[in-house]
Amino acid sequence: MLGTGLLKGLAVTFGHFVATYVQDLKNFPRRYRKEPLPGQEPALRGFFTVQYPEERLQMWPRFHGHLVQKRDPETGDYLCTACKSCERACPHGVISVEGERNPDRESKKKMLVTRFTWDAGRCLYCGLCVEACNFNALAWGKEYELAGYSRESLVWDFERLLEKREA
Amino acid sequence: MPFLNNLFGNLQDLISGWLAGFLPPWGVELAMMLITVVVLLAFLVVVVMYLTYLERKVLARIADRPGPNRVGPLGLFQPFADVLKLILKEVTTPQGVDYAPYILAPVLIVAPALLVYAVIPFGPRMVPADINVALLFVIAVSSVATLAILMGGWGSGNKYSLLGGMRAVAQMISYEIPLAFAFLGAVVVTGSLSLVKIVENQPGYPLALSQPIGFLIALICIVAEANRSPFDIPEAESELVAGYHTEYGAVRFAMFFLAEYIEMFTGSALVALLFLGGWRGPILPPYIWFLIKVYAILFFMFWLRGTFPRLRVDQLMAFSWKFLLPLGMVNVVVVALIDKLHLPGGFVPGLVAGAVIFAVANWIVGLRQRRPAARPAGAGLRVREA
Repeated sequence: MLGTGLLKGLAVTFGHFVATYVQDLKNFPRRYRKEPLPGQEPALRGFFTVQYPEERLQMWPRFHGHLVQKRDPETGDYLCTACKSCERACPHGVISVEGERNPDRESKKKMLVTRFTWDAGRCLYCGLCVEACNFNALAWGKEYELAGYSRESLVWDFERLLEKREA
Repeated sequence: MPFLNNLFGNLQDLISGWLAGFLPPWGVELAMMLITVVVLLAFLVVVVMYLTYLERKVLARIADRPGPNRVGPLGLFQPFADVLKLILKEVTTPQGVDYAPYILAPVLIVAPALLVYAVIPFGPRMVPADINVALLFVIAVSSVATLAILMGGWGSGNKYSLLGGMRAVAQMISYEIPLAFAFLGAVVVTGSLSLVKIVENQPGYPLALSQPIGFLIALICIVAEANRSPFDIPEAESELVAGYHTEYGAVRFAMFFLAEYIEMFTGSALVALLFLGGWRGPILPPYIWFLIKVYAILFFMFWLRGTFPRLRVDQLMAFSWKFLLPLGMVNVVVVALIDKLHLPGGFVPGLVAGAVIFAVANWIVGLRQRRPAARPAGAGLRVREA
């Protein structure tokens, strides 16, 4: 019959129109979803819009957000030995490491890090540094709001990398 | 309740009575005219502002989005933000425009869009001028918009604008004819061209029931007349940048925008008046009923926009000239015949006749579509079995 396809199309769009309001009524007083939304499974009915500052997506397991310097879970010491493997592995020369011999001869740690910088502004986020690390000291974190007002502010020092958590 | 039912008529009496205390009769008349115009214009501008909000909300919900919700509660101040932005923007004139038509077009497109409201009744006493050829006036005046669009397209000195303008002219002329035929059905039954009389002379049911074909044609044609999706060929953004208003910015663009939405409202108002019984309805005051009906049609227009892709130019013309126009002609003849025969049963004969016309149209279109399948099987490309 003439126009059957048109009516079908209208029915589909009207279904979506109504479904969003039904979904709104179901979670009536709440305006934003509190927990981070799982990115892989968008809502089947109602909005799929993530209302960004209030709502966020959960980052996926292999997300490359920023570098993290890991700590020993027992002692809390950093794991980095200033071996410069990451510096050599980096295709863009984004990481630079300087270290000195540990004056404490008794300590298990032979080298101390004096300077470790990571230039997030020029980083490829390829992850070769994380793979190259022999001491499992580097990892990726999941934060992503890391913009700055200058190129200098995008260069992370060792303390900032230590503050962040691997998630 | 009687006071509310005739709220605007009573207000009019109140104000003119008060003015008569210190003004001569012609002064009262002049003041009342001014008040009417100002109120009507203010009403229309606010309506247009919130139509954009409503449209964005409806489209967003259809696409599973929340729509504007940042400016004010539920995004209700969004229209003000939009209007402010359009008004405060710098007005620029591109090089190489044909100045007179370029400048005149935005004015000329808004003027007829507003002029139409001189004869559109919102209720029994809510019409600025109840002239006896109101429908003719509306059709004639709203055609001027075509000229304004062509002026804008030509004056911009841009090939996309010109193409948009040309397409607009072709489209609006094509769809005015079936629209007039659809309106003719209502005129035949009510025996008047005055929009007030048309509503008053209607039988107890909306004419959409006794003239379903006319109603459908009118509904399709007002969407095309307002250059709305899926008939938005004059401004087809994926083909023509923005069509005839590509080179317009700031307030000048706002004028085109205003005119488009006012035309939508006009078209919806006409269909509501002619086919849905205008302001007639139980319990609620007449003007509320009228607005409910108008907004239902406007919602339908937004719904169409959220559902259908744009028609191709040749499909658009073919749809009007080869389908809507013959259908409209047949509809007028059948409606007139049924009206003359005074058949019993209210709207039932009209509804049955509409169904028969639709079935015949369906059959004829089906004939055309079946033709390619008649090729011998195995010759050339295999035809997919229907």
